[in-house]
Amino acid sequence: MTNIELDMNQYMINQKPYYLPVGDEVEIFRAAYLSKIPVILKGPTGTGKTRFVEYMTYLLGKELKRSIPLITVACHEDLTTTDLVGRYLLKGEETVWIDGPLTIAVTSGGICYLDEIVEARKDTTVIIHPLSDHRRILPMDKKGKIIKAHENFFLVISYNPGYQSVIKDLKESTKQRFIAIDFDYPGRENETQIICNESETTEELSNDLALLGEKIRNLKGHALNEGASTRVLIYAARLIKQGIPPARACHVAATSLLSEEKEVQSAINEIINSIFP
Amino acid sequence: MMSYDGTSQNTDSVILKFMRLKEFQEWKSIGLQLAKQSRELSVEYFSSVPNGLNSLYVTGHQKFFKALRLISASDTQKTVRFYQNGPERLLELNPNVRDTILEMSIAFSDGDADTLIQIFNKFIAVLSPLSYPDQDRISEFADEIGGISFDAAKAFLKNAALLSLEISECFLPYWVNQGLAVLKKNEGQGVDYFSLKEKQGAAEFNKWKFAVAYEDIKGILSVFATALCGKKMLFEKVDKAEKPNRFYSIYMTGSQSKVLLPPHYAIGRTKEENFRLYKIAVAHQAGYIEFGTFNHRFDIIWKTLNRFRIHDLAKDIFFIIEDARIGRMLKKQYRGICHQLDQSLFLEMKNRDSRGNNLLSEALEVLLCLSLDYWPLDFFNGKEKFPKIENKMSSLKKALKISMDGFSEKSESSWDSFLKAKEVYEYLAPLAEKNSYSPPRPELVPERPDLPEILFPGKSKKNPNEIIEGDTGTDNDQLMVPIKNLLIKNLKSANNAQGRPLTEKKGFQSINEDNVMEPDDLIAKKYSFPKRVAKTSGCDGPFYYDEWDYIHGQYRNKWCRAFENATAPGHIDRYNRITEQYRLLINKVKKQFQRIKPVVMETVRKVEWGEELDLDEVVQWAVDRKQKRSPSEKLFIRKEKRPQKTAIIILIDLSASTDEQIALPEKTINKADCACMRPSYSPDVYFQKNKKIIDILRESLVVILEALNELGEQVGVFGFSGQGRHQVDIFPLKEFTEPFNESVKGKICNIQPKQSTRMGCAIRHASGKLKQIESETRLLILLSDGLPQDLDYGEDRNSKKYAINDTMMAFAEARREGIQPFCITVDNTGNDRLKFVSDPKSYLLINDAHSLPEVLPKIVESLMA
Repeated sequence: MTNIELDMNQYMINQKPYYLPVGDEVEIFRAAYLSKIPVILKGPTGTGKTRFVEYMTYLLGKELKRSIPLITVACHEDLTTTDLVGRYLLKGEETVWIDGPLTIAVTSGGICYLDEIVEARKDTTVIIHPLSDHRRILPMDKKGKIIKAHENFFLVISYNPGYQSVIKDLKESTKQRFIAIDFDYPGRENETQIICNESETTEELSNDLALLGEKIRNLKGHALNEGASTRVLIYAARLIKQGIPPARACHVAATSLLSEEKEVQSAINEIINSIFP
Repeated sequence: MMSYDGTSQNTDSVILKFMRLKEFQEWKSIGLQLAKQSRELSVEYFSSVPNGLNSLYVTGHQKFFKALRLISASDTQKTVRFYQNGPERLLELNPNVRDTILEMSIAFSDGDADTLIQIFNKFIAVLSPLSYPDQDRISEFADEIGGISFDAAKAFLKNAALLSLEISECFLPYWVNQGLAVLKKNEGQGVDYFSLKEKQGAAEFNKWKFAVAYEDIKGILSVFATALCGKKMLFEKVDKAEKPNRFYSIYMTGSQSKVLLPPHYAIGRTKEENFRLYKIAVAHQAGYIEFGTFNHRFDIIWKTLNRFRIHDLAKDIFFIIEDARIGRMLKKQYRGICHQLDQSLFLEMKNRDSRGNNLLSEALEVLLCLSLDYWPLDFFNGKEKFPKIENKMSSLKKALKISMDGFSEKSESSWDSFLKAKEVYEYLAPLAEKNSYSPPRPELVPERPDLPEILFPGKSKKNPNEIIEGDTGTDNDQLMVPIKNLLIKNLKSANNAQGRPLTEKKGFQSINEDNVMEPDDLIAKKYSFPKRVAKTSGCDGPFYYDEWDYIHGQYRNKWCRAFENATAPGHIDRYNRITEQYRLLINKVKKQFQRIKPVVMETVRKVEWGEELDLDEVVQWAVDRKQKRSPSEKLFIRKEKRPQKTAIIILIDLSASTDEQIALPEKTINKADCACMRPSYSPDVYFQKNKKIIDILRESLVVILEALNELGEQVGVFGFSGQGRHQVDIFPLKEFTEPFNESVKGKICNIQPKQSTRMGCAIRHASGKLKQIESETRLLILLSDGLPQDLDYGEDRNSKKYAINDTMMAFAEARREGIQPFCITVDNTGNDRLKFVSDPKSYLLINDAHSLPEVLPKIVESLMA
């Protein structure tokens, strides 16, 4: 029975990711990290949750002068405890244990980021309970042992409360092991800056796109379930930079994705036509 | 064509099955007249029953034989051919227009048989390719035009297909009425107008061809406005010529929550231009909110403006300047709108009638142009347009110009506009005659100031479409006027018919024998419906639904219009009384429901542990091992139990008939017997006097909701009633998302009998609600007390076939959507009249209304299981 060695370099953030702080989220995260309090990032899709974790991993690494691995798991409804903790595999006549991403983070002292945690089954999510309170342990049933988390291990989870159904909401017992940082769409000025930076387009175009984002978000709860994310606007900006006409770029990047209703699509196209000359 | 050998006796018996005696005698009389001239032809006549003759209405028979009599006077051969072919040809037309076509053919023929046949064939040829509603409209118009000039009517009919195709039904009356005005002045010009030869006719044709109606685009505009200003705006359709708004303005001035829009735009050269006018008008009014017109300082501005000596003038000046600021802000914020805004302003200004009949008016027009930076422009050439101010007050004009110069660059807020308004007011107030200011009545829809008021045939003066969210509406009397007119019209036509009362009549709006009474009585008794809840409290909609027309085997597109009307909660005590009375039954049902709480067993494959090995996975595991690949550990199958999600919608018929009392049980049954029969609840419930169907429905609802609430299922409860296809009222008593709270209980206590029963539309609405719910099982339970019936729900009020077929089709549609419908009819008379609407497994007739509270849970239980 052997363990497979992993190359931890693949989990390192070597280049500084672009992230524009819009509030005190950096300070809160840093304080939580130093205090070993797990964090929930809440907010709509495309508001920079994943980018923020990457940014903080890099930033904290620089500040603390050590390499911090970031192990990200995209949660889904078939995700099992085994997928997170690890499993035995058959290799010839030998049984090989392979660590799951959570075990890797726990043992290596990295940041484990469970993206869209509510998508995972409830019996899976309870595995993080002993890790996220004072015990900081990971029971490994299959190996019959309990691992004590590395001193630098840190747990971050994210979810979008907006589009999750009641059935998929987090359990209270899970929620109350974390602190929460709320994410929302940035203001127009900040968003202009973000679009400008990410797509390398002009400020005028970025401002128009940010205005479009703002106007489309006004429809959330009325004609749309979700507003246009910053990511969507960046995509549109990139298409425009490649020579696609603005109205068409916005249509393919936003309008046709946000709604299937012709009436709503027409209205959004009218907004686009009003903004872009 | 059916033929009968031998004598006419066989034919007699066939014809008498569907024809009244009076028309039968006419038929025979014409035949005898033929016999005097040609024996063969008379035999041919008497021995045949033409196809379609049995499908004509009574009035159709009358008019057909009238035409036949006219032809028989001159040509025997043609009489027989017309008799044999005429009815079948008539069937190609909408039943509503058949009589009109016969009448017009007779009237226009001037007694000549050949002309009659020619006109008749022409009508059929023109109208038959059109849709039924178009046939209706075109024939009405042709009748009206023909009343003035037969040639004009002919010209109109020649272009009927083109008109129906190119001009929307809502704009055709405008085109026709304009033509009628021309026709009345000069017949030759009128004929040219209707034949589209005359310049005005063609111009009007193009104008209305490209016109855009508010109703067609209100959805887009609503979303657009919400996006711009960030809040849901209410829309109100306002004819500027009818409802005074500010005159010295390009757009109407809405409010913090309301956007005012004209019913249509027809001044653009294309549809796009007209749509753009709407878009700019909406953007402008949304701009009041977006750019802070109605911000916290507006109260101060408004109060100050009201303190001005001529406060109306001060307000007008303020809004002229503020409108211009909003326009500039829109251009600044939305770069793409600049061009559209300029084009729309140009169109509006070009079509604007300045009406500067005094110095002040001219000065305000000048201010308007200055504020919009349209100084000087070609269409605003001071010399022609504003002679008074040009000649006598050029100094004022200059002063205004100096005052407004550079203002557009500096103004940032409504406060700037206010300060500028104060300044301008000082210049203009001295011009106000006798210290009063009465601006001319606004006529900002310049394309139709001279058009007479247009009513659609058979429709009320106030189109209910005008009532949008939040409209305060009209009072009962106003609402009654068009209905009264309509009924009087129908009564007249009914009285005109000879002999027996009409059985099948023109349109779906006719009345029958039982309904014939004095118009006022009729209105008072049959149509004294309460003031619309929609107008006084929350109203959602309209929702449009198709309706199945079994006669023509097709759907009537967006035929019914439904509104969701809020029900005011009643007193909760009533609810508590019912729960107390039915306590035993409720407890029993709750227990039963808990026991059968539906669950589904789900097979889960590829899992690490489970009840049995998944053979496929094991084989794969072995193969993987042989191939030295890492085999999956997920080799098992297991079954997992999870609760089945059920969504139930209960739809209650709140027609007027639910106000009927339920007969008490037979005397032979005493309370003790009753207690044995129904041990679940107090015998007093059963023997309660003066109990109505609505009471039983209410009690049943209480029982079922109490039980379902325990189960935690998704339940929606909706009542429905209405008055005609334009007003199907849905009363949400409990939405799916609404918790089962005091408010819901209060609303259930307050359900009341309303008006008619348009079942198909209500079922479609409920199905739509259910479809949105994520659930494995969807149940639709309809509680009714009889047949579907409504004002225009069938050929006439006695004919139930149309309504039953539509209801049946609505159920079929629900089934296609994966919804399980169930229909429960409470009918003391035991008439099994709704049995056709659903299959026997989805239908139950309850003769004893008192048993409904007990039966309903059983049905729900069986459906859930």
